[in-house]
Amino acid sequence: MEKQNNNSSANNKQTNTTQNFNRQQEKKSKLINPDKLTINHHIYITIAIFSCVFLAMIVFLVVFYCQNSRTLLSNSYNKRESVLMKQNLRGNIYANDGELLAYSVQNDDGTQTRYYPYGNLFSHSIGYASKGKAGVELLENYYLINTDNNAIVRAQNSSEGKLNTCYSITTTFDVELQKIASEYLGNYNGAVIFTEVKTGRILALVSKPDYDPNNIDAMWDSLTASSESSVLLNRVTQGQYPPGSTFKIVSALEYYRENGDNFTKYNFNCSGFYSNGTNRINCFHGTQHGDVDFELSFAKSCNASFANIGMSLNRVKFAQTLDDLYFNKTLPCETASTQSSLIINADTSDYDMMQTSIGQGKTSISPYHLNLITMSIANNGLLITPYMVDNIKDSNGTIVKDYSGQTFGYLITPDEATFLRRLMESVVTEGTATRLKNDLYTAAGKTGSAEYNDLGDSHAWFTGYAPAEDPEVAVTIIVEAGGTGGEKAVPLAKLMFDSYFTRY
Amino acid sequence: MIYAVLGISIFAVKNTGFKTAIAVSQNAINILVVGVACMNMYLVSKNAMYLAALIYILTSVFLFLFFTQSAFPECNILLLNNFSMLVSCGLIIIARVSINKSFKQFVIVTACFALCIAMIYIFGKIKWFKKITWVYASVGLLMLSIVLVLGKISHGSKLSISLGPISVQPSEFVKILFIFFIASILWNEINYKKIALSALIAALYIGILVVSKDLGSALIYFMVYLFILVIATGNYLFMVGGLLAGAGASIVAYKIFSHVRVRVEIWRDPWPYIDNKGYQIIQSMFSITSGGFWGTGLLKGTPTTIPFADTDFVFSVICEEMGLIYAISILIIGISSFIEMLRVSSKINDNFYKQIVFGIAVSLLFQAFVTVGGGIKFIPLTGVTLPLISYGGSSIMSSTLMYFIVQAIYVRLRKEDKRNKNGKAK
Repeated sequence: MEKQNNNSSANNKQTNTTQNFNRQQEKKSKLINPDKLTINHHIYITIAIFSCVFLAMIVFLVVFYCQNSRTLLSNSYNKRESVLMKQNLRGNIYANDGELLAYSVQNDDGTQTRYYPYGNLFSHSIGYASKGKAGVELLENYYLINTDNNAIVRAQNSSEGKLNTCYSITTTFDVELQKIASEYLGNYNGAVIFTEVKTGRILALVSKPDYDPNNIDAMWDSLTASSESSVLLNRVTQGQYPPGSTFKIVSALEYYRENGDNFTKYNFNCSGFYSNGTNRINCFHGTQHGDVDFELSFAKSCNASFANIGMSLNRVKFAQTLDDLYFNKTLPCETASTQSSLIINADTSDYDMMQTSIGQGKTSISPYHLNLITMSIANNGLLITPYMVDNIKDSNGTIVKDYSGQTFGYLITPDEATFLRRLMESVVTEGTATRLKNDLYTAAGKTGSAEYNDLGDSHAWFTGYAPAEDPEVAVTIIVEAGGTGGEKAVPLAKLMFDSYFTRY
Repeated sequence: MIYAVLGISIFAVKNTGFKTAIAVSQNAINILVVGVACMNMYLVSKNAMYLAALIYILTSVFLFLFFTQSAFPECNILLLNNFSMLVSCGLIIIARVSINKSFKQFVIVTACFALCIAMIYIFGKIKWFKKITWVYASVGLLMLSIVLVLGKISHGSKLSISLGPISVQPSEFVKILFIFFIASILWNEINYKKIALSALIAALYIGILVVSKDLGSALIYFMVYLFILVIATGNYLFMVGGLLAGAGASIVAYKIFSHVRVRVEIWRDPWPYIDNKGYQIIQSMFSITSGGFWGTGLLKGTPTTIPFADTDFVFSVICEEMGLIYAISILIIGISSFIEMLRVSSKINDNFYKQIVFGIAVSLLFQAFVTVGGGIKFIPLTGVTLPLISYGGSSIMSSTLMYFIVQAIYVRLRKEDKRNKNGKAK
């Protein structure tokens, strides 16, 4: 009996579960067998999904076009340029006063030849237009190969076998300043950049050795044959040099950041060298500077005193200052540029620290970078990104694009800029750049004589600005193997400032 | 030029009021575009072949339009016009890329037109479409397997088989069988067993395609299956689950197959591979960005530097020579066809045909998305054709079949509606 009972209760349970199962099944099948309304609801959602996806794709397409059309056209793998050059005559490039720097002429067979009236003078600033391009020719290639002629003019030109007129470029370059710098450098290798600190306009950009862009195709193989040949290298933006004493600007800035106005209490007795026991730093040519305060250490460029200053600096904070000044970082630059390199951290040895603070050792910097720092100091800390192209005009001479300097940001605070300007003024009034003293304008800056071998031979540096009280222009000069900055670089700065202030 | 007008008028069609007037103006624009494009090419090249192309496209497309409309007054005019617009656009582009190839395409298109009309008749007569589920499944799988075993390897994937002089790409046609199969299994009385069964077969299809390295098609099959499943079950959880499974499968595929990794790598940053694997996509990018909004004009650009300009990258060619505005109009025509097809689908009471129309719409538009998105580097490149526009007989024939299956179902629907109304009136 008990067993039977058990059985029947088991049966009951079973039927219960079957019923439950059936009910669940019904629910489930309702869940997956929808009525027409639900289906249509899902159809509308599908429409919405796909429309959104396509809308996103169309937006992407337009944005992609707007962002990339110019850069992609100049890519050497893009064969469209050669097609355009069968229809359009490459545009002209002018100096800031309207002088013609580059133009193209149509040959009898329909091809075209590019001419550069100033030959070597603008080789690194204007660049070249074949074999991969450089300089302004590369920067504004899109406009130089595109025409604004309308369809009717184009059809007319095409039937007459004439090429269409392209946009023309007016640069910021000043022919006079460019000539002065190039002639002064003569056969020396080196680099010069002359900029307006408030606008960012680059007035002169010279790199030696240079080449004649008129002959670029013929010379190409010999220029690129050996990897050691660096004729095509733009030393302003891509050259890497030991900064020498110009780096004392950075060391002084760091000292000021750590000590503030206490820098006035700084004192050092220079007997021609500094030593911390095992390591020794000599002043240039062993000069004994005697009793110097902070300002005089800077003005006289006393290595011993700066080695002493360098030893007092906090290496971790120093690394931060270098970062603020864009060491080891990509610089704001319109053309190809090289990063300056200097690594300082808590593990940096005393000797390296002493060397670094006087601008020797492992540091390397480009003239362009030093000019950026100088521009920032001269403009109360605010850097305006330098630029080379003033405007772009269509074939009627109407400006279609007008460039102006973009504010890059504060590299240093206005207070720090005031401090550094005071130091840099003393370099001209009582230091290594007294050759810049004159009645026409005041100037300020820092010289450098960066030793590049064990014989004591040096590159001559100068970086500075004028007028000292309200800076307008900044110049950075390096003359490779030129000797001391005061003797070889400062005179060129004076020639360029003279020319600028008599004309502008 | 006149292209912008086209885009706007396509929008206007959404406004159902003046249907006939708009339809006629659409045809007029179509004639205008074909005329301008071919005359343009003739003037640039002085090659009379382009005039022949002009005459061919105009006569065949419009004879076809006229015949279809008079034989089947119930047909969907918007779909018909969009179809002829896209086909003639495709013929222009193919003629542009290679005038000799285009005549081969003309022959195929003519055959397609005949097929379309036949299709509408057949759909009116046959009633047993729902019952041959396993025929669809087995024939489809068989065809794909044949490709896998015997297929020619072209550019790393097994896509086509040769039948004498003709090379056929079965995955294009199997797509239709696949849609019919899913619809026939899921159209009524769905239970989990049926879903599992359909999922299994779908996985088999997709698996074969992945092994043949036909990733684009695999992706399309997958999306089509998911969307139909959601419509059939009314449960979007299947979509979520499916997408998760899909994502998982993609990751596995990414890890296992090197060609998948390469595709993704190139999509992220093609520049290091500019000389080899990235050449195609970079040339396509050059092409897209060089035409501007109005295009360089036909034969004036250099889109033929892109490998497969007339199949996988046909959209880039359109962008360069006919301009972004025209290219975007083409996309809008695609979307408008899609919306129209789904509108038709929503009106159908019979779940089987409803799902077929829906599946076809999703398949066509998703394929367009994969091609265009791949060509403009919006998504990784998978290498499928742009329906109705790209060169290739299998591609155009299967897309034509798809358009006209929808058309045939629509004609049937309209006829039934009429009958019902008459019945009620009595």
